[in-house]
Amino acid sequence: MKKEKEGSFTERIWSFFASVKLSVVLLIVLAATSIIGTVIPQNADPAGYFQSYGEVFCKIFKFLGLFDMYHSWWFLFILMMLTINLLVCSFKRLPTVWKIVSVKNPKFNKKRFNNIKRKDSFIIPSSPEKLKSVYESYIIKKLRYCHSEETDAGFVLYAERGRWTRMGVYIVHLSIIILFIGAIVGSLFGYNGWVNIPEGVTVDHIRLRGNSTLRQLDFALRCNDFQATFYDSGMPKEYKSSLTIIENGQEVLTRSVIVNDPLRYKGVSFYQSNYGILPPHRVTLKLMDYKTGKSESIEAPFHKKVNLPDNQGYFKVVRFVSDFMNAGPSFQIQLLDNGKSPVLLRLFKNYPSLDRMRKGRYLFSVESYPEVYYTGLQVTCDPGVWVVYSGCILLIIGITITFFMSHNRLFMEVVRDEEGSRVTIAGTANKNRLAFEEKVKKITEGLQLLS
Amino acid sequence: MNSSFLLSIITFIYGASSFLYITTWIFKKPIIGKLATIVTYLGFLGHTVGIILRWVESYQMGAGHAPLSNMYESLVFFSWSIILLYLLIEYKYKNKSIGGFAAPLAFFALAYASLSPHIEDRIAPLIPALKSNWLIAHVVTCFIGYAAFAVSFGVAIMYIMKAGDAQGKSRLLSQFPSVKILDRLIYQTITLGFLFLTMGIITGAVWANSAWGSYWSWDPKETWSLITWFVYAILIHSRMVRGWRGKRIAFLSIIGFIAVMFTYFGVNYILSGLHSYAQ
Ligand code: HEM
Repeated sequence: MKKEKEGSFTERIWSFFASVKLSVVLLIVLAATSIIGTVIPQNADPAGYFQSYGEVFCKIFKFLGLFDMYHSWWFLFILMMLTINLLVCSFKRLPTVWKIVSVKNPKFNKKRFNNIKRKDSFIIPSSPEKLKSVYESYIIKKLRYCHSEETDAGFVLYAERGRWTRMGVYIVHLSIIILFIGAIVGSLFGYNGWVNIPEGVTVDHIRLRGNSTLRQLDFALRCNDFQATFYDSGMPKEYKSSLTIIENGQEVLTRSVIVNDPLRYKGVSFYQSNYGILPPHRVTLKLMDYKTGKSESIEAPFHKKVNLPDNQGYFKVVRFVSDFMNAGPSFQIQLLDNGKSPVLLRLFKNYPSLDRMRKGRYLFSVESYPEVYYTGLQVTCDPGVWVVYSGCILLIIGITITFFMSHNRLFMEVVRDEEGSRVTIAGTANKNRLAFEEKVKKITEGLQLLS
Repeated sequence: MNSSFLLSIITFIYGASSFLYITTWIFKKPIIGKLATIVTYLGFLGHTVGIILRWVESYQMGAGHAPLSNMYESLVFFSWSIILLYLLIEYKYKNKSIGGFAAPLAFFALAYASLSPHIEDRIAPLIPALKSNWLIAHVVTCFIGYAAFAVSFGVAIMYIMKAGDAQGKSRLLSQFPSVKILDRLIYQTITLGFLFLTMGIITGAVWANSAWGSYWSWDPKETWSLITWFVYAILIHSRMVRGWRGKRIAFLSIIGFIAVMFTYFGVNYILSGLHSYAQ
């Protein structure tokens, strides 16, 4: 006892990190501090912080890293302590548990048998020699492992099931470490960015989130087509891009990508995240001549002089606004009629006769213009994600074993008696004791019916 | 009859079974207890029909999806899971006093879903982000977990009441199962809830990863579900390693359920999150 207390410095550190007291404290600290980040918005606009908290608090919060607290040094420090805690505790306990679990051919243990308080017993008119093989084959069906030995007075039998389930907790703890490893791998070797690709265009780089720098991809990506569909209510129904991967000039893969169904290629995933319409570079206008009553369609590229039909002047398309004052798409046009001062027209796609008010020689209206969609893709590369998923699966398996499976043992002693044999049975389980006691009761009843 | 109407009738049936369970507990009338069980089974049957009907209706509207996509539907499923779990416990432990503490929780959940003006009960088509089988797995596992924690909370309250009467003087409390059984029941429901909460958090992470390319982004809903997970992990360690039993575990179970409720409602109504359920 004294020795343990005075142990060397490293020993004391070791037992500090092995204690479950530390894990409970760390879990409480994690739970309590995690609340902060749900109350203070994370990674928001600095001006917004200034407005909400004022200068002084802003400075204090910034110093404590509360604006990105889940990545702050102190939060990561707690997570690291938790990991060390788990590792040390496992290292300390595993050898002992392994010794228990890896026992080969365990046998009837008289002392253990005597220690069990609750025992069932009955007398059966049959000799131990006869019973031995019958009972053995009955019990092996119920518990998987069975070992019996003859004694002077008859025989003893030991059966068990689920010895390995004692490892459940360690599977849980190991899986949490695997989760952390996966998360670290992801943050060290992965990246996260986005790219907007107009229909028909091929790109081979993306922009990284955070600092917006460009990052080259190992292949190129083309957007063939983008479609947005809507419900009658106007709510979005589906966003769908058709994408083609091009490597060394060869098309290697073409696939549709919708929300919740990303395209994955060589460790990089492309998620449908948003979309938009590119501003047009040309527009087809309709000019109606008031004098002759005839109409004519003219295709006009942006920023180029286009002659009027009667050669009396020219016009130039100068600007496109996708939604001008809630009246929909509009084009701005400079008109220079010979001998008149230049005028600026604003033509609305949705109101073709609005230009009538100007009372000019021609009535200008927008006939059509090309609508080119671009698809907005989120791009991630996370080599740790499969590590994380393995950890998750292991965690679920481990918790199921820990809580819902147990190591059940059954002891039986059969002693010769005047009327035949006296059978005494006792069972123990490391968890869920009552359920196993029920089972032992059933087994006892079953054995009484055999002979 | 449409599903919303049927489910609002079920609300009243659960109100009645809560009343009957409490009555049989207080007045010790076994016949009322029998009636309570029958009414609850009928309510549960109607509840199940209501959920299936809602599923069928959504297909008839051309917006077909499992009825697990918004606050209303999640509350309906939450309430359904509580009753299911309670009926299993009643069958196994043959004690109806627990019904007085479990059935009201299901009643409140369904009443809030059916009657609150804040909760939209119309069937809406799904926006693209919600079209995912992982979302269904996420909602099912989370709410079975929450239901187990709710039952554990009810039993924890019974434990605290019973433990306050150590001499066993109270006629009312003598109807409760023994403190030993209550203690075990608190823990058993928590282990079940913990398994399902873990699966719920994981399926949610997989869903987030398939929709946005990030399995964990520390948004308030995610963070609060993790806080809840921590609270129950603390409880499990206190019990398994430090040997805590009884009142302490009952109090931790109550704290855990408060965390569940905050994750469920507080994040939506008090903190504004990115989560799809937030209005
Ligand atoms: C979140 C991080 C966790 C930490 C830091 C942690 C830490 C620890 C420590 C230090 C011990 C004592 C060492 C030992 O007895 O082997 C322990 C025991 C235990 N832990 Fe955890 N644990 C964590 C998560 C979990 C989870 C999720 C479960 C759920 C099943 C769990 C279940 C247990 C059990 C059942 C024991 C008792 C082992 C025994 O009786 O021998 N732990 N934990």
